[in-house]
Amino acid sequence: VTERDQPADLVHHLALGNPAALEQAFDFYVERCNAVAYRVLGDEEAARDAVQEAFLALWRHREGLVVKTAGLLPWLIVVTRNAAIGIVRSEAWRTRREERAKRILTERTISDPADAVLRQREASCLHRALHALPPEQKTVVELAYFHFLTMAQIAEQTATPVGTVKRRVQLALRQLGKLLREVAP
Amino acid sequence: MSVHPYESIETFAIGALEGDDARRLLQHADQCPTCAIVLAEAMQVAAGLEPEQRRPINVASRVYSRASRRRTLASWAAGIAAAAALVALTLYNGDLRSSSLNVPVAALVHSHFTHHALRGTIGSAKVIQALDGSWLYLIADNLKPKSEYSLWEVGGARQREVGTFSTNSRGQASAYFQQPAAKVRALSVRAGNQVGTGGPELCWP
Repeated sequence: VTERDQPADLVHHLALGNPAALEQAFDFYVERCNAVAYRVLGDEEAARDAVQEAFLALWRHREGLVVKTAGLLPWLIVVTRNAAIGIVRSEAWRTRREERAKRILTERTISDPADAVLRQREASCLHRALHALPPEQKTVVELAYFHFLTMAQIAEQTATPVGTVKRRVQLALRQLGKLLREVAP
Repeated sequence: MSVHPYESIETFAIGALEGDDARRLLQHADQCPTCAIVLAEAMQVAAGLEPEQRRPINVASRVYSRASRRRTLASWAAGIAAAAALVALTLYNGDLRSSSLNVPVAALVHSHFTHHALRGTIGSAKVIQALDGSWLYLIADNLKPKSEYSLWEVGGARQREVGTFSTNSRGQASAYFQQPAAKVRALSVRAGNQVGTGGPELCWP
């Protein structure tokens, strides 16, 4: 592994089990992953926990087909988000967030990370594409992606069977994928 | 997961699949080319939904420095390493963490290791090694700046050179060595790379 190794080389070195490749991947992507986790959690310390979990998962799955096929950054972004969402859904996090909210209420208006996410999403052409999806697909993607609801929660909230919700997510992502390939073939 | 979990793939990519199901899906896709391709595509789309902004929102002035990234990596050891080894490692690295030395990533990703403090008249060093001796990670401090050193080990009846390393302008060094698995009974750091050029600078035990 050298300082100039590109992500494709890193995937190769990771698959060989070279720890230096993990360190270099960390150097390349930690800031991006931290931003992803922070957008979900709104808390630096918790965001670092999520990022740490993602990189450990990367090491565990380093030989897997998905890392090789998706590429390091997409893989890390998705796994970091999932780790962060896992923290959001935990009981300990709910308690901590409630305590934090009470404390902040006495000082200033609460800044909801979800609001920040909603503002940020306007920046991307994919987010504009999201608005072009059929309303039922757009709704499930937004509830899952931006409000961190599980399939069961979305099914309950939209009074729709879980299978239908999953199918809508599937169709929505495939449609977004098509748009992505058109923008960057 | 004996069948292709197609309906869960996109759900995973947008973060709506929970704990154990998510882990099972990743494990399945690691072994299944069909699902790997579908999942990889879904991950690329989902990752595309993330804004490009690299810095944390509202904490732009607190971007990780390289040093703090190293510290974060170092903290991983807490979750991986044996507690006794971790305590010793953390105490030892107290001073080194302020430097730009590499943290022992090898120690972070291999859960079975041990470590040895090398002592001598000048400087200090720590060697973290796999229990089977297949890799060693050396961290040294307070040696002669910008100098060549070598690490030696006693495995069987004879002494052999593990490898060489150089110190920086502050007399610090870190180096990672891989070798065939072997039982390590003693370690030493010597100036230069010749075993016959005087006694070791540092040694263990």
